[in-house]
Amino acid sequence: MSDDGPDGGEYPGQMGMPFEGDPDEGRTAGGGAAGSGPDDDLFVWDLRPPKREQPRPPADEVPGDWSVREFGAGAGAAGGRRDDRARSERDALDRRYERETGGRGYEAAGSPAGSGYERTARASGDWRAPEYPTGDRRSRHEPDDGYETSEEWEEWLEPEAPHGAETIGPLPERGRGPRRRRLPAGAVLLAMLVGFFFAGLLDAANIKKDVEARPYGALRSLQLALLTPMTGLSGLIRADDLGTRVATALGRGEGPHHTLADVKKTKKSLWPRAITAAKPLRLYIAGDSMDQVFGSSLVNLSEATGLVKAKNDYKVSSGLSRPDFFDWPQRMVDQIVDFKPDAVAVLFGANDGQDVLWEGKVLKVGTKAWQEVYAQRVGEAMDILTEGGRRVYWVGNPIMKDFGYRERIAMMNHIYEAEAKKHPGVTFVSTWKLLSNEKGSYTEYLKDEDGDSILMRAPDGIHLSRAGGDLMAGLVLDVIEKDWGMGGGGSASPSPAP
Amino acid sequence: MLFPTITFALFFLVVYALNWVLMPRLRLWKWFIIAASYVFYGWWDWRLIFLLVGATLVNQAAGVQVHRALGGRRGSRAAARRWVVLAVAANLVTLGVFKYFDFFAANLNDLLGVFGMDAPLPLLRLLLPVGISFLVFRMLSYVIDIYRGQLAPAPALDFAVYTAFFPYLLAGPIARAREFLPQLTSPRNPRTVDSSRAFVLILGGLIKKMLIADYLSTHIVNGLFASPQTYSSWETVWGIVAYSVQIYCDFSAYADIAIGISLLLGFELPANFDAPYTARTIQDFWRRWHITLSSWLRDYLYIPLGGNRKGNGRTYVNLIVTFLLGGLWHGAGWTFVVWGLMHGTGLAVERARMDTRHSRGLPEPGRTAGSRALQRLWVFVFVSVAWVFFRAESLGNAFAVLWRLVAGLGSIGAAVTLPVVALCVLGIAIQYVPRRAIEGLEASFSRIGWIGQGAVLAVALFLIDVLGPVGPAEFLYFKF
Repeated sequence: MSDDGPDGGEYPGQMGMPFEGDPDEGRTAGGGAAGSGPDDDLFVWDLRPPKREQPRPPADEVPGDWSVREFGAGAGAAGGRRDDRARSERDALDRRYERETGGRGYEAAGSPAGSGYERTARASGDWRAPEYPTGDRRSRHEPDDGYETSEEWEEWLEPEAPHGAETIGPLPERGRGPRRRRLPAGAVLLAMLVGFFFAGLLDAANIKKDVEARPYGALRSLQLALLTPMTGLSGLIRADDLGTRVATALGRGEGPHHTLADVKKTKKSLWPRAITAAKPLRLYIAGDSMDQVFGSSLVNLSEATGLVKAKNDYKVSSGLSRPDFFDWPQRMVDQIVDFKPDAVAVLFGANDGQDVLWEGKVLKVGTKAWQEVYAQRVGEAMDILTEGGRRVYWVGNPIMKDFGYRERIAMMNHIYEAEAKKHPGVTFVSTWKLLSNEKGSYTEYLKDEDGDSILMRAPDGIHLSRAGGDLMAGLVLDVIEKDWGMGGGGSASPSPAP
Repeated sequence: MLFPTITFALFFLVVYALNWVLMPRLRLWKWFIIAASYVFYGWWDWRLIFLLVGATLVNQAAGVQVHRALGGRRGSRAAARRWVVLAVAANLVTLGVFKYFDFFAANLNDLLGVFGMDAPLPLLRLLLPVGISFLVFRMLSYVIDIYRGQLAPAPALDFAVYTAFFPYLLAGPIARAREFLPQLTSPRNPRTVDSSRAFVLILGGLIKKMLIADYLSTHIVNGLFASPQTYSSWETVWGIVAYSVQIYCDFSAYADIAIGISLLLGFELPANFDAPYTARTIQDFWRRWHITLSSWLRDYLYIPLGGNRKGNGRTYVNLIVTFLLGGLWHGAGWTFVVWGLMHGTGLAVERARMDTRHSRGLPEPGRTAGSRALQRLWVFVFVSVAWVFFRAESLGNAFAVLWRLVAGLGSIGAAVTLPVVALCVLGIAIQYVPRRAIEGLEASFSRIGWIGQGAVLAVALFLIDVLGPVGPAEFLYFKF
């Protein structure tokens, strides 16, 4: 038999369409007993007309335990021999499944007499056929709601629905296009293994980089262990070179980066200077997912003054503790050279409360060594950003809902503040109290100038609502305007310090 | 666990192999697939497993009780109805607590504030379980179908599989119990895996998601909705078009991948999309967009509301109410209410026009190719404008975006790049590819054997990873 249906495999039974009439009869008629002749339909899901003559595609050599040739494959004498061999292979497979399904074969295992569901129903005297009706909507209990008129079902949305409003779980009708050949499960597994293996060989460097960027733990270690032989082999046969060349040709490889030397060559920031609409302040904003709302609020508020040209640049899940995931120092260098900002506002830390790798050792978050390494990375970022006299506004994170997380955020805020004091040109802007209540605790709401309660935080207790972003951005803009002598007006309501 | 990740690839290889090894022992297979699905769902947060277990126990108990009541003495239909009401209430309360409580509490607080009663109700701030709306829809259809006599209760084990089956768990398609459960009555055939269609669906889904949707998202859509005042009119036009393409490519990609993965495991799921941007009417659009949702709304909301049986006026109201609630299903926010109202009103107006034409004996519109093209353009424009409300974080944000269509005249703007325009066009053009061509592709792919399919997989996966974004990107519909 062919493994394919007459219309590409879409026929009732596969999607659980109703078996007409008695389920036992339907299954026997549609499937026949296990081990029937090769031209019979063997399985209950094959409800196509039996013994239908169809052209058959050539068979493939399919190794593996599950492998079986398609019957009727091939042509001439060779085809006949293949038929015989394939038939015996399939018979062997059938015998195996008969054995494994208690001698009933697939169809018996799934028949009303065989399946647990139907057995239960019969035992309880509750057996009715079919028990999974899908076509007869009113098979047993006439609904007394009185709405199930035929025109009701057809009039939904459009009278002449081409796909048929009667369709249960409306599956758009597939045309009776060319037939698809199906494969044994083992062959499909081999196809997937081949696909993953060779894709992995070509893309070993990228995959390894992705995996290395994951949080430290057992899963990362396992994946790295699995990848190691592949990356080794990829390097050995230079498949990774080919992959890199293809990626570069497609314009998605690692492009040329700027260096700190390029930053040093850029024009020095003139601070203080007069900010005018003709010569606006160029403000670069960088950060993690917290910056998504905060940064866009700062862009909106600052550009509304007509004196600022701002650019927000955030990367979700990023931070300074895992440059292997996203290299912020490099990104900062590139952006300074390309965007040429006069000032920079940064908001990091939400993802930084995790272990870091330092000189081959994993440092636990919060330990003294961790704090020293993190402070060093913060300091390096500040060095890059302040190169040439650029003004930097390092925004501290607001209070967080979860206690443990809040403690880590507070620790990092202290590091930012301490490093800011060491770096001329860096101003630390604390937002902790700005988003706390009168008691200094976490709060969802703050009151605005009119006394109305305004929602400030996202449901996760970490991120900001738009109002929260505006409030923080207003405070930062106040600091920037004061620093550059631009005049006030940045504060958003509600009033900053509740 | 996200589909386009290495973690899922490893997970799936193991699940796939064990799926077919255990398939002959169907009962053991069911326990296995339940466990695998719980691992998949619990990957986000292990506590979510309790939601699945709770939904299984409550709805199975309700289904059995409803069935028992229906099969009993006269008058037991009232008892069945009580059980149905109880089950529906339990499901909706669960959904309401997780999804809508904070929305209503926040709006009530605003209302109380207007009257000077400033005592904010505390917000629960529960993290929304991924895919909870899809889960609730499946559960409701199961219990209601039993009540309607369209389905008998499944064995608890089968129902647990139906509840948790991981391919559709997070973002559909909303497979009905009567579509899925019959597939559990017998082992799937390990010799007829529809790999060619599965691989075409999976690779097509990955291309749509990672090469089109994610690119448009990061290169124009997110920026437009974050800071609309910085975008020109042309950028806004293309940004809105880009979001229409993004949401289609994102959501249909998930459905395609889910269907493909199910096929590899031996199961068929209902299709969820059928070239929605080729629709010539809004009605047509809803037969092509999120098909399993629109048919669910039809069967369990529109028809119980009275459908079209109570006169034209009531039909229009029913359409609007159905889509208003459909909008709220997508999210607790006024933007979703407006989005639903727009579609409901659009459907009602269209239907009124059609009724008028019929009563006057006028011919159907769209008799020429030009008029059909105009119809398609109009539907695309309408749907795209409605998507602005769907995407915006607030009504103010939506109006700010729309305002830029007229307020940003002048230069084209830097955000309108060749890749953005090309991907927008591509995202729409792929919907005009004839189905026969896709079927032909699937058939050709099926003829190259497992080695050929593996080779195509290798090249395609490599190119998708190279051209796609760095790091995993969540699908938009997870949050619904």
